[in-house]
Amino acid sequence: MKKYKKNGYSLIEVVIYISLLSVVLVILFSLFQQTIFLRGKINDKAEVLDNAKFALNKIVWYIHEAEGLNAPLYGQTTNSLSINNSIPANNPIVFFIEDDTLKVQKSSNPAVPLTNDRVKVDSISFTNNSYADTQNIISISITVSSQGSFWQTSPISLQTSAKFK
Amino acid sequence: MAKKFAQKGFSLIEIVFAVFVFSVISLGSSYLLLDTVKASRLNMEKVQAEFLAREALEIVKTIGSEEWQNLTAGQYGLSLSNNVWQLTPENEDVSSILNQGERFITIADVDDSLKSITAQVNWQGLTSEFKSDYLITYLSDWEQKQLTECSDGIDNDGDGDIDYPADSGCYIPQDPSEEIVEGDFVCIDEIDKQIVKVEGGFIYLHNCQLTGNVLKREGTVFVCRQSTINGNLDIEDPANVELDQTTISGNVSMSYFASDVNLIIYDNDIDGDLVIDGGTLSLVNNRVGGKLDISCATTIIDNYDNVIDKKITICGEEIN
Repeated sequence: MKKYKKNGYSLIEVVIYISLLSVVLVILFSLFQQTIFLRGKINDKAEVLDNAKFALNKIVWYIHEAEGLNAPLYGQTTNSLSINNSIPANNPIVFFIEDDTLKVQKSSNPAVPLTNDRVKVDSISFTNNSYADTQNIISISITVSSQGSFWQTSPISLQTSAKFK
Repeated sequence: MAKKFAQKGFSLIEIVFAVFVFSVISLGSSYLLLDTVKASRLNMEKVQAEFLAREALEIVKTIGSEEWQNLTAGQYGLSLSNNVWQLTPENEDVSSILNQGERFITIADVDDSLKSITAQVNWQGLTSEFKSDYLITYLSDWEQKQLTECSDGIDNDGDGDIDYPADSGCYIPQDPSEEIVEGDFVCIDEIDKQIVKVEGGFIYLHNCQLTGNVLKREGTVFVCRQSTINGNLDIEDPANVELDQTTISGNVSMSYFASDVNLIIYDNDIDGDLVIDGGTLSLVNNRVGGKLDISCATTIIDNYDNVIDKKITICGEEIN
């Protein structure tokens, strides 16, 4: 009786240790879970943002290099853009959405995607805000969201304008 | 017994300390996570803001190439009116893209033909702190439509009149000075790049090359011999005029002369029109690239050996 009391733990002690341990484990687990969850979310966001940025930069670059504008006409808003550049064989250069992907097509060549299959281009719109056919300026807005992803991320919208030379 | 128990187990202090250390570590790492989320969100907002600022610069470029004069120093918002971008006094609301976002541009003059344009975007971040981002560019007036004293909207000479034609010192809108020189102007064997404007006094030019317009108003004699004037010559009401062996690239106008004033115009080459109103005229051996127009108030003594390329009108009558 005397010996037993000296060497082991009391039931209360065991209960306290186990409950403390489980609290610690629960906190650690949720921390790990949150980390994995956020990592996935942030990766998705970065993917979406990179795609939207790349597509928009590419369009702005093409507009800066362009020699002429076919569509949208003055005052109109469309979901595709058609421009001409200095190489006649490439004309017209058309940007449009097909199968949730933003594509660019030069003349009658096969269309080339500007966004990858991990994202979905929800919408793109081009508005011609030119000064009555003289100084051409096109306003572009694009909305991109994540595709086939487990993590719920909200779509990203970017807006800019580009002026013809 | 009591001694052994104290040695083998944990004391309450130890447990409390362990829990404290553990919570500090987990709190720290969750803050790290939160920071990662904030950084990712800020990154997205900065990209959106940068595109908006770039758009603003493109818009200002468009407005500037449409009409450079529209870019006056100050802070403006942008708005679409009739589908065309305009500068407005109020900042533009861009809250559809960024939370409580607003956008404005600042135009500042660097020098006469160079302006700095700053496009700034302000918004409210995830933790309700205000963020801002801006881009700066410089625009130059490559068409060189520079403002002169006679077209800048400022009363440069302080006489109460502003610009051409209100200020009598302004000969044309491009005139670099609103001031009229009072007194005499003499140019002998010289190259003078100034526009000459003289009121009162006399003008004496001999073998003088002038790059600019010449205006002579009132005063005494106007004498010009063997000279070149790259511009218009405008003479209003001096005493006598002698124009001799001079090449003029612009128009010549002589007006408001009394009948006793002698206008002696010999051996000149005028590219533009020659208009004479009043005075007593001797017009001999001149070439006029434009038309010749002599009013009824003019008494003609000599008029021969002249070559006029366009039509000749004397006292309202056309002569072939």
